[in-house]
Amino acid sequence: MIVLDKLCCGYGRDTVVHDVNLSFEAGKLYSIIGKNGCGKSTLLMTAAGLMKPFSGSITADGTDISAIKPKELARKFSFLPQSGAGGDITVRALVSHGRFPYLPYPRRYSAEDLRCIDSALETLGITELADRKVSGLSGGQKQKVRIAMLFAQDTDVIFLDEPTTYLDIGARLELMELFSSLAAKGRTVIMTLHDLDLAFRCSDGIAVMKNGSVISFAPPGETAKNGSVESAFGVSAFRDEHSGQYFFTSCSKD
Amino acid sequence: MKCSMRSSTRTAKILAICFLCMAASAVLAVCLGAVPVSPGELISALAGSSDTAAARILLHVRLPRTAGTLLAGAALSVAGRIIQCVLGNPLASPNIIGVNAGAGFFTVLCIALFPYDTALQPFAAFLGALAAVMAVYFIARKTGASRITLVLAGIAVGSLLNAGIDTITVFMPNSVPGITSYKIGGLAGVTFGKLSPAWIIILVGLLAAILLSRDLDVLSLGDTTAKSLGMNAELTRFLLLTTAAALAGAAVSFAGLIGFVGLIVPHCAAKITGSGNSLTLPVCALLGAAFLTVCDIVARTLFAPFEIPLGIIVSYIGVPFFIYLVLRKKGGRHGDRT
Repeated sequence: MIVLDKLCCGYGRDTVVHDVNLSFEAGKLYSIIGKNGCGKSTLLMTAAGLMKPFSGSITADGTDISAIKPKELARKFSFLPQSGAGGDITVRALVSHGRFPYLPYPRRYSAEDLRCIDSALETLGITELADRKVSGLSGGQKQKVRIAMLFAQDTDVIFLDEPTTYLDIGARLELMELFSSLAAKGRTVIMTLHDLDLAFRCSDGIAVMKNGSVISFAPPGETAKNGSVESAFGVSAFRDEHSGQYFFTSCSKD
Repeated sequence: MKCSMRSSTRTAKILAICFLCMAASAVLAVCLGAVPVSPGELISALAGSSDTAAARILLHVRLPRTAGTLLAGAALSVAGRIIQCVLGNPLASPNIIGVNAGAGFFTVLCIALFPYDTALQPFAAFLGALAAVMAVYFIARKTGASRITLVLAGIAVGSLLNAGIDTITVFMPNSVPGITSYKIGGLAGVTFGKLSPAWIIILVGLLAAILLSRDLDVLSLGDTTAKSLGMNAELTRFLLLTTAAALAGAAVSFAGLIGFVGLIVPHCAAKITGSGNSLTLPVCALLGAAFLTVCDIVARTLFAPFEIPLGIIVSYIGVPFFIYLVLRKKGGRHGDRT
């Protein structure tokens, strides 16, 4: 269980995120949604322990994460940045770096490490790409490689910053299914998402952010009804009771 | 398991071939020159059993010079590779981002102020290299660290430091003899005394670089990823840049401002290995040593008994080769093709 308590965070002297209280349970998938610049990535990075909060705390199963050593935290939390990592390096080499938190000097891979790397490649179905250069892959393949690196890191809590941006619809759905299956296996998956449709379809809980504050934290069905989507995005959300699907339409202001 | 076995024999093969290249270049460098020496004479001279002219040439001229080119080549190449990975910029190299100029400025300053303390020079060079690399790093970070900003910052810092070298030589023309050849770069007249204590710094630096190679790989994935993998990115970056500065500084202290080695060799090494730094860095060291030694052989023998300064040869061989490398990747943007 991850608990954010009265969390304020930001860059330099600018407080971007104000007074956030959230709790994430194991075995569930959560989405953080909100307009560009509302602070969702900042919140995610701070929750993942990559930025120091200005005030408030983040606790993982009762332990404040500021009391956990970075290497140890990296065995509990993994984080997928919005962009980066890719270039003149083979797929296997990049995925292998997921084992870094488990490598003491002189940084030699154990049999256990190699097994984790192989299984991560297999889970994402990219074993046959293992010896290719990351830079030569398509966007969807690259994203899979980056996610395989997180799988090799083998953490209970997984933070993903916009994992589906720039991917075509097939790759998006495939990744979301993968994340859901991770949650079903007892991991906690927390991601920021642009795509409301995906967020409502796949999440167990949705945090809606507006101007650096969380204005609603509830399961999708409730989020659609409580008016937070209208307030944050200016669109209304409703659920079709027959199919269980969510629809979004622009609000008329009259 | 099978796959990793295959890759480890490949690693061993690459290292063995690079080592042979280096060893061959070293033997050639000792034997060739204005006065050719046969391998037989080389062995007897090394065994200390002859006191002929050839033996004296070997011991006092060829051996220190070859040791110097091997050390400088390895140090500059590894420094270049580290700087390229840490700054995430394939154009960065010790001479382009002003690290050599920093080391040179401090060396010249040291010679001007303390002409008799030659042992101070490598340390002064190290400080200068470190100051330059840190200055470039912080400028680039403040302004957003785009690739081109970083190169521009480096050129600016480098120009300033070169102006510093020129200022000292203009105002104290007699204090720094041989400044022209120092600025071109070369090892004419190097002795074992001049290589000390720089050789210790270089060997320690190479060892440190190889020990940190996996950390260098992870750091080059970007700060956020490095941090999320539990790395103290700031500390690791500082350690790596310090290592690069020590290597480049020590090399410049006795070899002068030799350019391009730190740009060409790392690119070739990365092409050959196509993998992480735990292999690429040793390959850089071996090939860098071989490359500079071969350049030095050319410098000594092309118009023997007259010598061309090594720095000129490096530029004449290195730059066309580098342009060839760039042109060979037709079409693709940098890093697009495998």
